[in-house]
Amino acid sequence: MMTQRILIVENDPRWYQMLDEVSANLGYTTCQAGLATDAIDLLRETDIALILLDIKLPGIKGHQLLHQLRKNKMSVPVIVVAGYLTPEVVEILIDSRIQGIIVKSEFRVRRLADAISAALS
Amino acid sequence: MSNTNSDFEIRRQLLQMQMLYEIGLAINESLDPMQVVEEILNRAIVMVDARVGLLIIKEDEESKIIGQVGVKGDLTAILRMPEVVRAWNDNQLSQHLADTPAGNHICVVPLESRGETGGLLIFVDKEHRGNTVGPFDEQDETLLKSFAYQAGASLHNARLHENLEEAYEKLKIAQRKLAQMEQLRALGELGAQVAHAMNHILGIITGHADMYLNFGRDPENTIRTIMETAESGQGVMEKIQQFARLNVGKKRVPVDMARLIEDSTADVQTLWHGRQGEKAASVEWVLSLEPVPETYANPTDLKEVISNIVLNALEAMPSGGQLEITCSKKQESIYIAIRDTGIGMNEETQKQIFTPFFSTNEEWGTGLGLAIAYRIIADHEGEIGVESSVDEGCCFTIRVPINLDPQNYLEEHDDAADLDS
Repeated sequence: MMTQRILIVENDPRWYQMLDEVSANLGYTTCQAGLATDAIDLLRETDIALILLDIKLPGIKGHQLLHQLRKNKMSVPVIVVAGYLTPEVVEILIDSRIQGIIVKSEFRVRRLADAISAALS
Repeated sequence: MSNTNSDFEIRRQLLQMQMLYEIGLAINESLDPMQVVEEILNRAIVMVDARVGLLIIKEDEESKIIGQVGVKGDLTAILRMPEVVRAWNDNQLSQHLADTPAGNHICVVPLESRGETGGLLIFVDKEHRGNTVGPFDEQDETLLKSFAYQAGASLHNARLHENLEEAYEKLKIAQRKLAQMEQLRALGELGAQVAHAMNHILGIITGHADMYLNFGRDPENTIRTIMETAESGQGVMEKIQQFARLNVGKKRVPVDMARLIEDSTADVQTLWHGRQGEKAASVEWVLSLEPVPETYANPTDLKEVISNIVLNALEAMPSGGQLEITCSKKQESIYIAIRDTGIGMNEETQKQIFTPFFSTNEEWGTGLGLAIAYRIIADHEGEIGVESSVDEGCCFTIRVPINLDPQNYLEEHDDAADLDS
């Protein structure tokens, strides 16, 4: 079986590196997009099993990207990995059928691993 | 005989005109509606020898007495008299023998302003010689008509002015509220941004420790990352504290801005070479600092501003370039420009560059440097701005008004004297 690919949408190199390392250790391959527009390109070109999505991106924000995906009937599973959620963002997330939220300050390997396997099961 | 009569008539009319003119001046002098009302009534009853004078207006469709002279007691019955009620509608002066117990003579004069009846002047009983009372005569009516025209306009102006003042007051209160709300909103936003920055840092620290525990990764690398991240967190906290301390108990002293720029750039050069070492790209420094008058300012804060912008400029030129700093005096301000030939920034970044916690530099930036710079310059009653386009470099301009207020300088010396004693 081919390994599943996780798209990490994160512009902070330190967070990308961590999410990449955990994903790799769990046996997934990854690709990175630092911008929402890059993420859209990768989703078109590559077979993506899951997105780990940061909210605070330069330009188009994570929740706006998510809204766009769902509007275009793209049902790829999404786990939001965010530092701080404002009520407006939470509102959009609730409406956007996401598979999990990881709050950055409470980041644990186990939590991310559980969220990923739940989302992909 | 007819000559004498017409002479008399002309003289009388002239006197009346003069009287009206004087009354007009008197009632126009004040912009306080109550004073205007009092002036109107006092002048009018003398003019026509009325025993009683009233001024009524309509408020919410109800007649209301706003001024009265020559009588004490309750006069509300007058408001209901048919003559008065009618006068509101037909806007005509009318005289009647009113249906009061004493059978008073009344004269109702509408105060017209902009085609509407703005109020009614009511006079009761003309006093004739020998303490008898009777109706008002034709001359009184002519006078009152002219008078009513002026009085109506004055009253209208005064009330307009009062409304305007009320509106101004309301506007002031609304603006103050808005400013408070804006402050609260900014505080909330700052709180959210601090939370974001700290969550981010704590997550990286716990994440690396947890990865070490779970995957048995290289301990040295893990600890180094944790240390670096924690240090960047300390940096953020320091900046937040600095942000909070700004403008608290800071004294202004005479500052030579050109000299301050030289000092700041020298400090930054040392810091930059310490940080970059051999990696440091070659940057051509062009300083053209004209001598400018001393200005009362906070040198520590201003150094922080210059250092910050210069450091940003260096970071924006990873493969080297030119850094030009100018300082000059125009009118009553000092202008500083810091121009680099670096990567520049797009419009979106330019808009957010002075917002707390906005940072494009993931490695070193706290996102507070330029927000602090903005506040420092604002505290000095100056302005800071940026012009840039992608790949074409960036130019920060600062204007600081020359402050010659020696007040703070004296305070500084008082303090010094205190220490000596």
